[in-house]
Amino acid sequence: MKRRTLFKTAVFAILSYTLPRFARARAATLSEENRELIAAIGEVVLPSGLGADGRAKAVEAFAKWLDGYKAGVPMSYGYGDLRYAVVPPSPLLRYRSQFIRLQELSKAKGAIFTALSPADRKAVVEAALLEAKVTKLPERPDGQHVASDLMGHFYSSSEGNDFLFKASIRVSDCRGLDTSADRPVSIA
Amino acid sequence: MATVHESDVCIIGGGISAAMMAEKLAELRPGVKITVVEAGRKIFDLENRFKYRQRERDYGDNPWPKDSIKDQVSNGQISRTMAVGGQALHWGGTCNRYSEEDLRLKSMYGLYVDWPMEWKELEKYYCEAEHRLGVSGEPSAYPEDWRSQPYPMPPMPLTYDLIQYKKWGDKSGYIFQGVPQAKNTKPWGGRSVCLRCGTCEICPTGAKYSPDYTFKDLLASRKITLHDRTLVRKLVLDEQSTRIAAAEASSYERPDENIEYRAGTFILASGHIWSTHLLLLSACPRFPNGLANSTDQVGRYMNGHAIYAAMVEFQSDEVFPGMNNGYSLISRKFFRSPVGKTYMRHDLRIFPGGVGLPKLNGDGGKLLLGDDLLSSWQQKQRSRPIAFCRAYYDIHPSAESRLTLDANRKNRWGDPLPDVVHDADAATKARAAETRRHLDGVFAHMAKAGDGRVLRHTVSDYLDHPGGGCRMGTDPAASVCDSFGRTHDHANLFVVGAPTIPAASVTNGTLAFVALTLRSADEVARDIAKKSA
Repeated sequence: MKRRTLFKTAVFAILSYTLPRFARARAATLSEENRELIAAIGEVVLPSGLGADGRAKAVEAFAKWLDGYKAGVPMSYGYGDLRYAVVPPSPLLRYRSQFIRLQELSKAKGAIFTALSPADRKAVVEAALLEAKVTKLPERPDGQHVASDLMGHFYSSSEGNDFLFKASIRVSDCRGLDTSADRPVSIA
Repeated sequence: MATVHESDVCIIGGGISAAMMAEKLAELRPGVKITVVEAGRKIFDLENRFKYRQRERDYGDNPWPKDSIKDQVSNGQISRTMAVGGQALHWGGTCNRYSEEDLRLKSMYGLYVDWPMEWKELEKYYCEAEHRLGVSGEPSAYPEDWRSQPYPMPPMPLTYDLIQYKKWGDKSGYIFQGVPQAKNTKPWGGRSVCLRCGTCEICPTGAKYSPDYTFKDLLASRKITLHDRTLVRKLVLDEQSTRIAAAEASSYERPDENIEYRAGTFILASGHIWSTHLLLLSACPRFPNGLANSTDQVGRYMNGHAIYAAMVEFQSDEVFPGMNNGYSLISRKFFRSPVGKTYMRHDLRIFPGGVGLPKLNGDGGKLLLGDDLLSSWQQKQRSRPIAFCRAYYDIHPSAESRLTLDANRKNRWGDPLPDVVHDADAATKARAAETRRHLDGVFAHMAKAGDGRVLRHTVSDYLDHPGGGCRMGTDPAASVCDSFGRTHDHANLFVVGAPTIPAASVTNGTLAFVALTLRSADEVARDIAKKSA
């Protein structure tokens, strides 16, 4: 092989290996603008009982989850499951078009999404979820829609579980055996 | 030229049976040179397990990185794990015992076969197994489940949640108790007390026993040599006798290197699939159907118990799902079948149901968000908890329940891979419909006792806690090895643990596999003593 051909082949190989990964890494980062948009979604899809702080924490936890996502790593498997599954691409990759669509639907109501009234935002999210044919919440965000992913992430979390049961169950913690038999402490 | 490793004992496989065999032999015959060869790799990283646990919870990442080998998988197996520690790296730690009926199927019920040992003998080794693994539990409420020694540790306390489920379960008249588990309720074996992390498939504290700890200790005290990432591909017969002379192996690190293990005793401890597979792969002119297979018994009577389950809704005080996801209840009410009636044996388990996410669609299909979503969930979820009830029921294999070599699927070295097809014997098939009716009745009775209802039934498409392939017995025409696992054809070749069980009982098998292995270890130690005398 000629030296130039060899060089071209090597450069092509390196770029084709690194560029998709670079692109994926960039795509899997949530911008500040998008973070604000998700916070505005949270205000209308998460329960009011969480309060502003609780909703902000839920959105922050969701954003942190997206930041920590690692596509392509082998997935856990249970008995009877011999498939070699890998963690699918980040749901964030599918959110970009959803953010655009949310803004389009908002524009029809006369403002950008974050500037709409809560009632209008809720109507926009409902329309977007219907368009995306979302019928249930995912146990883990799957990209079908950012709004359902946010809700699914919250209700599947330890904090969400405690909120639902109004009790400090703390599923994700290592809690010791001493308090096993006690009724979990109530949360107001 | 092969790289040759010589030892007194060569243990092939690195799971829980191998760990127990190596540990006990090293105690009984100190100074004996033991080599353990395992195809998978070491994962001795307790320090990372909190991180792995969190990643699995959050993202579903495999908490046991690189714990399998892609081209070393069998059709019909239920777990692909291949690593030092084997499937017991991520087992639930449940340590139920079989019952005496399992060993006396022929003499009590006229079914299948009896085991070639008495229950009293096995029970002794159950106690030893519980001690070595570190089992916490309370004695069975049924007196037939007698035990000669107490559990090493007090039982895991029931959670508030399980207490509610037990109240309901007991109303049915079936007595429920927490399952015994290889989890520490006090410091044991140099490992800590359970912290109720609820993720027993990856125990981050070391409170659940897994064989990696045993191997780590044995290596630290230089009692064994461990070769991981090394696949034994063939056993070689001695030219002058029927003894095994060597095991030929290949390394995943150095695939071109030929490796040979020579030893006085060879122990197959690779589980029911890979132990059986290796015997079939080791065919030679004097044993054309495979080693230990002069009577064509290797690979037959592959077994496991069948699974039937129901989701049951019942009335109760509040429950709080998620208090300890690794813990459940068992009733041993149906471990015995009345003689003279249709044979019916099964365990009965209650697992707390999951939380169930709020439903996005309300009545009439209306989309629910925010407070509407929450109030809809509250109305539906809180008043009637759901339990997952499951029965493992006894089925017996036919001779055609087999592991064979699949010439169309090969590993990187060209060895044909195993193919497992299960088949039940005629008596099992004949009572299948009645078994189903009985189990439907049990679940319906439980639902009624809780003023609830059965929501749905589930039939699993695989057999759990499988074993067989090298069935033990006294008759060489109908078995591969004796009750110690010594193969009828080769005096210095033992098969231990799961492959030797004639049938899989009605509950988790790991404790039985360990008990049998510990009994085999006594026999191997006696053999070694005889040789050195």
